[in-house]
Amino acid sequence: MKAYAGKPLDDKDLEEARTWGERLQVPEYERLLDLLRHAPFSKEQKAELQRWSSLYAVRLEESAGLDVVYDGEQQRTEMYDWAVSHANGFERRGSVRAFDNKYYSKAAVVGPISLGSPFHNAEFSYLTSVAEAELKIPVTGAYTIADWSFDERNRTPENLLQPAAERSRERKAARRDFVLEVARNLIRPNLEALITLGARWIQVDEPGRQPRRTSSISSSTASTPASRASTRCSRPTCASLITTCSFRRSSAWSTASSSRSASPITTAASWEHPTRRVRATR
Amino acid sequence: MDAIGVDLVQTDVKALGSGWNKGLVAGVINGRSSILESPKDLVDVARHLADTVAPRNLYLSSNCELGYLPTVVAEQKVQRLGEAARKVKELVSV
Repeated sequence: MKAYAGKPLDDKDLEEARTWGERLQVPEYERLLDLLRHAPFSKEQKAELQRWSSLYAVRLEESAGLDVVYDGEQQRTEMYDWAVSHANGFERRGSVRAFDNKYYSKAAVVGPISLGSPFHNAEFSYLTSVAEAELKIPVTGAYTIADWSFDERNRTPENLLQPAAERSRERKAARRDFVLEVARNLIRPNLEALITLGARWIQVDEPGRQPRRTSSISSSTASTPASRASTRCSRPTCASLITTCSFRRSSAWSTASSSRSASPITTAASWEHPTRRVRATR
Repeated sequence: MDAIGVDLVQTDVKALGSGWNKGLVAGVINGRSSILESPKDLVDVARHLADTVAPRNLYLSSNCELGYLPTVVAEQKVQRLGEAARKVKELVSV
């Protein structure tokens, strides 16, 4: 992070890169040390630093014994910005508060939404070339993209003298249209591109989803071969539920345990469902 | 307590009743939307509240803090709020 941000590195930083490279048995990590000694970095060198960061993260998870791994989005700006940056139909509106003193650059949808270019292909291709374990690719879901954006397609402000229930229905209808358009025209073609490249595990992250009844959470994950639901506070006004749905592109998902291990349950955490196995990944 | 604040983006104006003996802080600027309110619409809402709810004092405000808006949008909304307030004051003084 320091190197990518252009901050000066000291011997302690280099020693940390060396120690972890050795501990995780990162192939040729000495090349990273050599690169780190040549600041300031060009654009291409920064991209190389990102790839090293991905490699270290993947090796960390592999060395911990996880069967399905990922690099922690080392090569993305952040989960919202990265998706919107590769979409048509959005315009930047500036920095806004997310929660506490945390801010993010928020965009507004102003026109038809479409995929500018597949935005996880390069990352997936690189990770495929270095990962020994199976890969899981997290993608930001349509609901979150919509929830974290302004909708400026209809620029008419609400008439506050109109009944609140009517205005609420109109807001919900507009939100539904927005979410579905993101899902159809941005997320889906991006996932299809990933699947074409051979992605087998795709995790749709929806931290923008508001907490609802437990039953609705169950129903949203019931049709997925593997799922994970966790909670954490991510919004200023209420604790937000992060529901993460992972799915494998395989009809024989019940045999999903890695061929690298003899154990049917091989990840860091796992639990049994009466009729099927649910596996936890990072 | 001198006044009660109400988010009018989420609240039906009819639910406010009438004949208040307290002030009303009316949240008429939507701090969650980047769409700019029209000063004329804000004046219309203020007049409606003054006529029907008839609070002891009427204050025009945003329905939440404006930190969830980009600074430039928040500034424009505050400008429009001020413009609406000036017009309402003119109407009251006539």
